[in-house]
Amino acid sequence: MNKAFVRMTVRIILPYAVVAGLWIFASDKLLTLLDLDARSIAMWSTYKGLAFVLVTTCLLAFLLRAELAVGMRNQTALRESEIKYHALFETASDAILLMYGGRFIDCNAKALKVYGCAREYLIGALPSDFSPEFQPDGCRSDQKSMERINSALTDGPQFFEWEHCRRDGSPFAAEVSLNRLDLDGMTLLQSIVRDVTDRKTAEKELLELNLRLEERVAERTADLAVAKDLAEAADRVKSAFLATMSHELRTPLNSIIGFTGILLQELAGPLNDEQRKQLEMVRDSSRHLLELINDVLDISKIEAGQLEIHKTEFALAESVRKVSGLIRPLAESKKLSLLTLCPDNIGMVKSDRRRVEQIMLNLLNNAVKFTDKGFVRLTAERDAASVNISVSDTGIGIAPSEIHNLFRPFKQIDTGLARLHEGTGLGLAICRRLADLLGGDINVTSESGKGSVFKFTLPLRGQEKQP
Amino acid sequence: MSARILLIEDNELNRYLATFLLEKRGYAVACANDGPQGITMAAEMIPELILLDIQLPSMDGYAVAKSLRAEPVLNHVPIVAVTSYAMPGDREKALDAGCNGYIEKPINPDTFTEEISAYLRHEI
Repeated sequence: MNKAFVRMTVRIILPYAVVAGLWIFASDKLLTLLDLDARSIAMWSTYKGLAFVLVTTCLLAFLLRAELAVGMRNQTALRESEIKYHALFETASDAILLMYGGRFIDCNAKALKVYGCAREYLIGALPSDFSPEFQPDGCRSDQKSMERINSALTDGPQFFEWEHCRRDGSPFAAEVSLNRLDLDGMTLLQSIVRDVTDRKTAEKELLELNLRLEERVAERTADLAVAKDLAEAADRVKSAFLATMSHELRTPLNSIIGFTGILLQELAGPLNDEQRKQLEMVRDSSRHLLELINDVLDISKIEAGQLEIHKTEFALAESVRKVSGLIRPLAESKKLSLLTLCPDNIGMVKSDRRRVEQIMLNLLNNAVKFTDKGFVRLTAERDAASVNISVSDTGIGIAPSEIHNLFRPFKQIDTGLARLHEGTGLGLAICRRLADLLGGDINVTSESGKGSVFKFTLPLRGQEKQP
Repeated sequence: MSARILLIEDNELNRYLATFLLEKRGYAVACANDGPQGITMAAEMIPELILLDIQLPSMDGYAVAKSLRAEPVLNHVPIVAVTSYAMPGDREKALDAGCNGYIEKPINPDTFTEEISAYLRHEI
């Protein structure tokens, strides 16, 4: 009211008074300057008075019209703004309520939907009328809601979770935001209420799902632990069995090989030719039996990851001499030339000497076994990081269809070759796995009927592969 | 005087075999059937070499080797394990127990006495 009066004063009364005052002052001054007689002055004064009324009336009309236009514009803008904000209020996706003195005095359509009641039930009600008696934390709803309202009035906006209930008593979880509003000297509270039941349900489901998942993981882990224990127990039984079998089989073999050797050395007396021939057969068979036992034991140890590698520095040329010395009698008995090309300056290698020799011996043994005429040749060369040992022969070779089976254990047993060439067929499988354990590799190239080349690569400073 | 070798071995056939080979080579061989007997005999005779089976009744070869190594008078006598144990770590276990060498059974009759004489030469 005061504001409107001040505005009217500034925009109408003040301009009117100034213009009117100036008009009177200026017209009087003009009459004085004209220096007229008394009669003329009286006549001009009448005209002046009439002109004054005319001019000021026009001025007043103009000022009033301008002021009214401004008022009209303001009122239109205000109405538009009100429509706009009312639309925002009514179509908001959250419930919006106004409170005065702790009670609801206005609300939007969404609030009616959220609380599930008609406007007349909501207006005048307390927030605690739409809450269960107690909140989840055990506090009384009426007390706690008053605390929140007071905090919003004195400390600033409040944001919190609240357990509400609809008019029919069904509960719902909400997020509430309380803001103080000062309107025309009235202190109101705006409450924005968002129903978060769906989100809460989803969160709860997610939590339960997580718990169930964790339980299942724990169950599976326990199952796996049991399975692992069983597997390890089975593995221990297998290892113990292998140790026992190895011992039990070797003990009688010790006697067979030992006494045959004694007889053949004629330490127990002279032999005739037939006795010697037959005793040699006993010796060869028992040696073969020992090889089989060793092969089976080796492959079992490798597959159980129990084969240990012991690396030492050793002269490769010496090992080559040793294995070729071992294989030479066999090659000579088949009238094959055994060639070894290993320079003495090939130097030292750090690896498991026994296993490297085992691989070379096996490759040479195979080459001699499957070659009937020609030669068997071992070549050793070194480069910066590795030694390459290749064993080539002029033997029966390997058919392309057989090559992929070559390094698989027990494969020879399935083939017709087993009848012609004795052996478990484990030798190459063992070689490949040993080479692997030593950080090297074995490959083969072969032409059926012409011969084979086995290439064994060994790192100089054996970095074994991590199991 | 030929070297005296103590053989600790429970298997009669193996005992006979090793004794036969070693005696033919000219060594004097004394035999013990088990660990405790072997330890007593070793202390009495102070052999130049002890051949020790690992799988023995009641007291295994590792324990026997440890007891032998504990006797100051036997401290310098080479002990060679002769065993058909060929599982991983057997060699290391034998060496850890105080053995100087390790011969795997079955022994090779053609080279056995050679190997033994090498241990006698490299006496420590």
